[in-house]
Amino acid sequence: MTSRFFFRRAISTAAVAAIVVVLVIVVVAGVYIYTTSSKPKTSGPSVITIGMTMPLSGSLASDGQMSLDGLKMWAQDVNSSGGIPVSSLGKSLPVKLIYYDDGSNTQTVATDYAQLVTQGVNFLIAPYSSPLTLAAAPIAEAHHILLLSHGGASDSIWAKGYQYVVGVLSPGSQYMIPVIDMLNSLNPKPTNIAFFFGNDPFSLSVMKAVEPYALSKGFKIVFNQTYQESATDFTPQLSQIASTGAQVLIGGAHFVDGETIMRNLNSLGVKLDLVSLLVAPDDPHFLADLGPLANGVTVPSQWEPNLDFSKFSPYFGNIANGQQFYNRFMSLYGIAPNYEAAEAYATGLVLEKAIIDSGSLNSTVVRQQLSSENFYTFYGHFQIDSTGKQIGHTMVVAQWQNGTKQTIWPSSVATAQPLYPASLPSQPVSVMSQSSSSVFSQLSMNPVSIPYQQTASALVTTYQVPTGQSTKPS
Amino acid sequence: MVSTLLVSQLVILGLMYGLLYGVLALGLNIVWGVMRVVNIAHGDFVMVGSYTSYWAFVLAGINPIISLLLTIPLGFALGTATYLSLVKRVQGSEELMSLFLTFGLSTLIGGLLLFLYSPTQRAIPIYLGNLAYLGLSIPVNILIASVYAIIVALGLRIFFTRTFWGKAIRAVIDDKISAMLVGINPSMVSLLTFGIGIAIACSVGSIIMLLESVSPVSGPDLTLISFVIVVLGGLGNPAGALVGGVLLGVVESVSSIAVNAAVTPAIGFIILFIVLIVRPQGIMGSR
Repeated sequence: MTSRFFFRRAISTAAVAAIVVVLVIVVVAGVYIYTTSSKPKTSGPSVITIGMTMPLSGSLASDGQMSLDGLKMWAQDVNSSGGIPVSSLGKSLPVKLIYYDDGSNTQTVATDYAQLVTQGVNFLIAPYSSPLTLAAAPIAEAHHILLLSHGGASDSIWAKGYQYVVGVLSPGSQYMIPVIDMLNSLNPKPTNIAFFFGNDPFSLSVMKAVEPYALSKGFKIVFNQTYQESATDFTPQLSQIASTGAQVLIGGAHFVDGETIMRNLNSLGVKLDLVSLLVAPDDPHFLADLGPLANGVTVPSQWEPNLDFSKFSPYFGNIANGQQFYNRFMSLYGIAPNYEAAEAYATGLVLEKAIIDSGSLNSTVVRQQLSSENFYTFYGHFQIDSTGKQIGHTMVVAQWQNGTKQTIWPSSVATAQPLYPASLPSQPVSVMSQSSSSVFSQLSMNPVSIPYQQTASALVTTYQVPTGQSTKPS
Repeated sequence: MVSTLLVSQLVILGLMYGLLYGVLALGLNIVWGVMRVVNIAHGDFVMVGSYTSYWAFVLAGINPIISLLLTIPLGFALGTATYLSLVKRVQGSEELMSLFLTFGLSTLIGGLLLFLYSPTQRAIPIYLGNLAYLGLSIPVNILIASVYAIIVALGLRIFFTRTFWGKAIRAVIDDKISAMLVGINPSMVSLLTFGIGIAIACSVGSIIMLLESVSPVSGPDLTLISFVIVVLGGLGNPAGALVGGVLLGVVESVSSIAVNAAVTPAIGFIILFIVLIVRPQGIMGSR
């Protein structure tokens, strides 16, 4: 019995010894792998990794795809020109985009950005839209990694005191201001406006800014409601808007809901003098899906292909002007770019410039560099305030006119007069006032005509819009 | 302040949308009521119908109303095949098992649609305008949807009251054991029920293309709203689905006068809570 006892004890002692040996081996191996693998890191990485998620499925899929395509084109352009020179490393590095589909879901964004951080990405780019950007921001901030926002416009993003979140696009508060200015310049000027915005951070920040501005310009707000973006029918609300005698409808949120509003307006037979919606009308699918219903719809736009900032200095980037960006994108993807693609590409340019100027891949250093940057790209002006919010870039107003998206405001860059009242296109267009902002007064007129046939045929190839020809589902 | 005309307009819109809600939930209702199978994939079958109609329109210019001739048989075939291959194996076990199975099916169908057709929103640009009558505006697209709902409801009523298999299905709902005693084959009843349920779901998919744009991930939202309607109207009573749908449609529409549109999606659940407290078996349900 005693020997058995000792035998058992001996086994357990041996087991303990074995465990200790294994542990020591694991620890030593771990330390060895850590030190050897981190060695090349200190001597410098071979690639600049940029992590992001994009809504490639779900309600924001259309917007997410445009943004991703813009960024991919930028990465392709950078890499084909030999990468970004990083002076502290004494060499140029190619960029590598690491992206996941977040399904338009904030929870997925949070998980995926945490994952991207553990993968050791150098910089982060935010997903499209404000809610998703707001979900990614705290993770970037906690890990001190620069997060550039190209499609999150809500002012609330920059009101939380984040140090590492930088906006490339004009914030939400700026979106509808030029639309009100445009309406104010019309003769006869409309009086009654209905507000019908999405109930999301971006649209709410647009609404919060445009409401007092419209009132200050003497407009009467006859209807003011918000809606859930996921709603599939707005006929009750639009019936009410019709009954209030509104002449102009200003609202929207993103792509799907914007189209639904237009469909519902048409099915109810509601005639408004002008409709101005956020985001949706800027997308070329808007024309493909709605056809003639798109006519006269206006959209505040971050960028249009006819804009040419090449005269401004310092000018940065290999894209000379909007027209060139349009052509490059069109040849690469077979579809016309909207401003989401342009702002995403420009975000790449902003990061590129800050890396070159700071000579570093350290987020804190690059973020500091961005504070002092003041330059132009094909997308327009870049300058941020102390919170990281964009203050340099300015918005324009675009309108669908007979299958062509025209820039109608400010008048100094306009390619066409506003079609107003838009529901009666046979009526003579109104006289425009000559007021314009300082940046645009310097801009050259460079109308880019995107004929309906060309746009439509591009859409047909990519999106199988009915043509009577047999095409394969993609 | 609020005119009678506006209220009438909203009631009519709500009624028409409510009928569509009703027919959307009909398929789910009979499958659940007869087979005790909780079909989480209901909305995804609707999407199969929507995508079939979309491509029929794009490739051959077929109007979604005509493509019903395509989606109804397709839905029936899909339903019976799904029943024979999968659903049959979990029927009779706990309802939780069918829930797991159909949840998997939902993910599979959603994923397949995403893989095949990309996440792009799809819409059929058919705009039929509106009928103006006494100052009211009746959108023709929605009118067609509600007329279709009424036709399906009447057709089902005739099927359930006048045909052998319709009566057999009702007998199984009432008392499965007694139904078997009088020689009704419950497997055949289940097969038929699932086929009809999915056929209705797919056909609603075609009709939805007249009203809105869809994406492969639209299915689960439709499933959720269908469940609310089924519980509202009462389980296993096809008429209950229509009543639940119309109630939801009208309340959602008329309430837009008083409440912000952002609150509208919550209204369905508020009605659901009230009905569950006051009449747990649903409006048309029996204990």
